[in-house]
This record gives sequence, C-alpha cells and structure tokens, in this order.
Amino acid sequence: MATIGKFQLGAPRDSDNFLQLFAIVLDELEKQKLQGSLFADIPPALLLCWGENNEPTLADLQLGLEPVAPQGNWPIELQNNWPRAVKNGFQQALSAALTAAPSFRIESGRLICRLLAFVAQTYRPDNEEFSRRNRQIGRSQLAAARAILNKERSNSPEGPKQSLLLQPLHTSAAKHILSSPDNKAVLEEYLSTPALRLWQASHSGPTFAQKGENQDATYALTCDDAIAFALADGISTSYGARFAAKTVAFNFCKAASCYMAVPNDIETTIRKSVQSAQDWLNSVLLHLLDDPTAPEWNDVAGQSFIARDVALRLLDNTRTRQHHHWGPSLATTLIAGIARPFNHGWEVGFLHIGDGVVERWVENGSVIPLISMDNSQSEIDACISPSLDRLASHVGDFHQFSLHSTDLLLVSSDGLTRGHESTVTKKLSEIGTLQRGVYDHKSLRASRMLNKACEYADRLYETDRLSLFADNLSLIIIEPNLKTK
Amino acid sequence: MAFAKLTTKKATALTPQVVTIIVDDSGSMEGQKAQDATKGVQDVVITIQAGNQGSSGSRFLVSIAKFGNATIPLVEVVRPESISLNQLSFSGDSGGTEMADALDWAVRAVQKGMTECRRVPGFVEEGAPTPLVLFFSDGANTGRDIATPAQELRGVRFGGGSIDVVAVGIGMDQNSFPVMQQIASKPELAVNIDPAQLAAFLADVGATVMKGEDIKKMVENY
Repeated sequence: MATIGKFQLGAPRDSDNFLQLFAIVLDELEKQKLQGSLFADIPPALLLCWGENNEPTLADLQLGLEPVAPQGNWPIELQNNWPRAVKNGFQQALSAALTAAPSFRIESGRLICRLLAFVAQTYRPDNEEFSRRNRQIGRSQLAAARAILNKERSNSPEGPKQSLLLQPLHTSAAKHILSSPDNKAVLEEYLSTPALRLWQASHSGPTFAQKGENQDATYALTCDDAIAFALADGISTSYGARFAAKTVAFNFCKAASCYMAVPNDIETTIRKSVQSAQDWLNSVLLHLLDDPTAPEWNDVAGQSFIARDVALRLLDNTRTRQHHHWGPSLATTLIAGIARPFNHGWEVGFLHIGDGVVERWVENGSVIPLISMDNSQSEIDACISPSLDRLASHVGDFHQFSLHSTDLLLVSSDGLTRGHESTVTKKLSEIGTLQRGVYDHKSLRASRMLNKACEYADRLYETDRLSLFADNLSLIIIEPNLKTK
Repeated sequence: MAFAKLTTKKATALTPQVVTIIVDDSGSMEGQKAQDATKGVQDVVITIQAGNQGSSGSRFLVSIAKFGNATIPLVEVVRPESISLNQLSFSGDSGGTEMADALDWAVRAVQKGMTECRRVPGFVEEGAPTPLVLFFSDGANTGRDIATPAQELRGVRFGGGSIDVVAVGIGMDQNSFPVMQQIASKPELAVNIDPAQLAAFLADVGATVMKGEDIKKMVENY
C-alpha cells in the first residue's frame, strides 16, 4: 500500500531516467501556458494509489489521450471530472509522459502514475516546499533529458517524424518568443536578484538605416542570486536570422538557468548552455527540411520575402554544405554569459561568438573594453548556426572576470559601435543617454536609451548626412545590487 | 578562389547596385552548357536574394535576359526576391546569336536601373557600387554589327566613371572571341572560360557581388 507521507521525488527511489522523464513532462506542461490552475483537484495521492494498488497498463493510460472520458481501469474521480482534467493540463502531461517514456526506458503504468503524482504535487497550491524542490530537480535534469531525446532522434531511421515530442520542443518555444508583444518586452526589461540588477532592450535602429526588421535579441533569466544573459545579433544575410537570434538567446538562458542549479565551473555551464541552444537550432533545421509545409516556416521566415523553394535550398545547404558562397541559414552572433555573486563579490563569465561589444565602466570613469570590434567591418568571422557535425560549445572565446561593486557592465551588439570611434559606453554618455549613479529600475529603461540614441542618430543623419548607429541596436546593462550587498 | 580585399562600395539599401545578366540561349548552347547556365544563374540569384535580406530597401536591382534570334527579358530592374527560379531556365533553343539586340536591351536595362537607384532617398552615386553587366555567349555573332550598341553600353556613365561590362566566352572559338573584347568595358574584363567552369564562374560572380569585391580581380582568376 502506498503512503503519501514519504512521497518525495528523487534518488534512491527514483532513477535518473525517471527524473529526466519528469523534467521533460514538467517542461512541456509549462511551455503550453495553459490557463487556470494546473492539476487542480487532482490529488497526488489519487494518482499514486492508482499506480500502486490498481496498476494500469500503458494501453489503459492511452485511453486518457482521447477527448472523451476514459473508462475501465481509471479512477472514478478522474472519469467524472474529465473535462476539468483536460483543461487543467492532466491530459497534456499524460501525453508528454507516454510519448517520451520509451526514450527513458519507462515501461510501466505504475511509474507513469507515480510521475504524474509528482507533477500534481508540484502544482499543489499549499505545498511550496515540494513544489520548489520538484522544480529544481526538473531544471537540473532537463538538459540531460533533452540530450537523450535529441540523440535518439538523430539515430532514428525515420528522423523527426518518429520523435513526436521534439516538435513542441522547438515550435512552442518559438511561439513563446515570437508572440511576445512589445509591451511585455518592456515589462521584462528589468531583472533583479538580491545580488545583481540587469536592464536589457533591443531596437530595430535609426529610421535612416532602413532596417526592415529587428534581427537582434536580448534575453535574461534569474536563477537564485545569479542572472543568465544573452545578446544575439542575427546575421542579416542569413535566412531565419531573426528567429535564430531570438531563440538562441532564449534557449541559452533557459538552459543556463537549469545548469546553474548543479555545481559546475562557470565556463562549463556556459558552454553547455550554448550547446543546448545550438542543439535546438539543429532540431529546427531538421524539422523544417522534413516538412516544407510546416506552419513554423512562417515564424522562421519573419519578414524575409525569399520564396520557399529558395529557402529550402538555403537550409539544405546549411545541413550539407555544397555551395560555399551561401552562408548558413539560422545564423546569429552571440554574447552569452552568467553574472553571479562569488566570494563576497561578483563574477561574470561570458562566451563571445562573432561580433558585439562588452565594456566595463569603472568607478574612476574609465571604460575597459573587454570585447571591442572594428566598427568599419561588416564581415562576421564566427556565428552560431545549425551544424550537425560541429559543436557550438567548442567555438567562441571565453572571458571571465570579477565585477566590482561600483562597476557597470555594458554588453551591446555591433550597431552601437557604428559611425564613431569611441567606446559604446563613452558614446552613449556623450549623447546623454547613459549616466552613472542614477540607476533605479523606475528611472532607467534600456529601451528608452535606445530610442534616444536612434532619435539622435536620425537627427545627425538629417543635418550632416552622418551614419551613426546604422544597424539594429541591442543593449544589456548589469551592475551589482548594492542594496543588499 | 582568392579574392581582392573589400572595397568601400558595397551594395546597401542606401546605395544599391544594378546587376544585369545576359545569357546566350542559341542552339549551340543546347545540352550541358544550357543546364550549367540555368544552374549558375539560379545560384547567382539565390546568392543575391540571400544577401538582400534584413533591409527594407533593396541592395540590388536585377535584370536578366536570354537571347537567340531575339532578346527575351526574363526580369527587368526588380528586387532580387521577386525573381522566381522557374523564370531562369535556359535550353539552347532560341535560334541564332543576335548579340546587338541583346546589347541594346542591356543599355536600356542598366539605365532604367540607374534611374531607380537615383530615386532612393539620400542616394549618393559616388558612394554606390558600379553597375555590373555580365554578357555570356558561346558562339559567333550572327546578327548585325555590335560596335555601336557595345560602345553605347560601355559608354554608360555612373558616379563619374564607366560601368563594368564583363564579356564571358563559354569555350568560344578564338576567331570569334574578339567580339567579346569589343563588348567588355576593359580589356581584362573579356574572358574565355572552359564550359565546365561556367557554373563555378557564376557562383564566383555572386560571391563577388555580395562582398562588394572588385570584379576584375575575380575575372583574373579565369
């Protein structure tokens, strides 16, 4: 007989495979962004007891994927409240579990019930401790779980179609990013932890530069006291560049926030997270090539007018390089890193692939360029793009340094380096958009800074025909949070 | 393939480049040469289409025609992405090699393209890349003398200088090749390539245009 009192996720009772499947199910469920309370009125004990005392077969569980209430060996409580169970995510979780279970060698109905019971426990409104613990375990297992699914997928003779779970992996995440309205971006422009503060924004650039769409992207996520941040600049001549920039920035941060939950050196964590973002791009490439009519093509194309047959040839050439004059599709530069408290201070590590700028503005007013670039150069010497024979984690230059309490770290795309010889920090200070010592999240808006910079550049172009900041613009500003440190 | 260093005149939305391609589709092109021309021109267009992404304005204005007994414009002064690959098909079934008409068309297409460029707000002709004309043929001219239209094409002025006209013989008989030297805007821009190199040559054209490199340096490699 099962007892709920000791019902706790983790080793030794639960295998790594079980925990990884749990991570996948939790992640899939959260990505679907269902309305209402997930698993409301589905007590963990109901599911646990079902599995332990009246174990369903996998065939029994498959009945729960239908729109009508399942019969047979199903708890009467679920049968009677089936529409509510569907609405509250139970069916979606069951579907994710059954789809991915073979990849993790989970072959018993009892274990699926146990897993769903832990999902129910995670969403119990009165159980914060279990919820936090389960989510942390899920985050720590997610990257490994994704790697298993991706590996299985690449070994599959039938390719992507066989791995149903991979489709939501890239489609729903992409939709999450691409459907973010601008006002939401503004709301998420400021992030803080007890140790650090971050501002971020991206802008399509001055009007005179005629940038059709913003192919830059920034993203950041907190993980306890640390912040994972990413700034990506899609290669403008690469098909799907905007999509690549947004999703790489997002997936890097998401993976980093998972990897940060387990002890690792900062470089390993960052490189693994970059690899995770590239794995995701690989899966997008294979999915699009596998299904030339997939609706995700529209998301990837963005504002590109390139016809589908041409796009297919460009993507095919990305998978198997035959025309060396055609650059890779879905290509973006990337500056991706982690800032965190360390030894009574702060440390920052980041990986730099391609172009962009990282500068430290120190207390005496001097600017230390950690990464600078030739602002007249438009050729990109490195990028992250889908590659089935190259590991993104092996490219790029890694930088690590201590951040002092009075430092301000500025990360920008190449756009802010265009048309002047100064550092980005100095230039933004000179035109009055960046100042020291006035930062609180109410008064500082990175998007406002970029708006002002664009207005200034447009005026300059109108009066003197000078091309300042003639590109998409992106900015991340990080500083130690002195209120608590 | 080695390329020259970047020039400062790269095609941008503010300084677009006019690119005009004329391909011989006469009977002598039938077979492998026509197939290579189709593939090569399609590849050039894909290269330029890819390079035209990410901008609301167009970095290139493209015209393409094939000629035999008559000149058939396939596209005329259009943004690259509006070109369908299906339009770009050569089969070597267009009869003779009436070069003069094709050159007349090229003059009109280049001038029309330049007019479009000059309409771009803020366009500075001196800062824009030189218009490029590529003329491909594998046989002797079978029509009227080309001296006048060739001179007219070479004489088109842009940014204070002449335009670049590259005349490419595709395995041309040496006795017929002087006509290509008449067409080219500079002696070094007339080149007679092995037919097997046609696709590679066109691929290099696409890359050179995209990078804003000197077409003369590219031609020198053949």
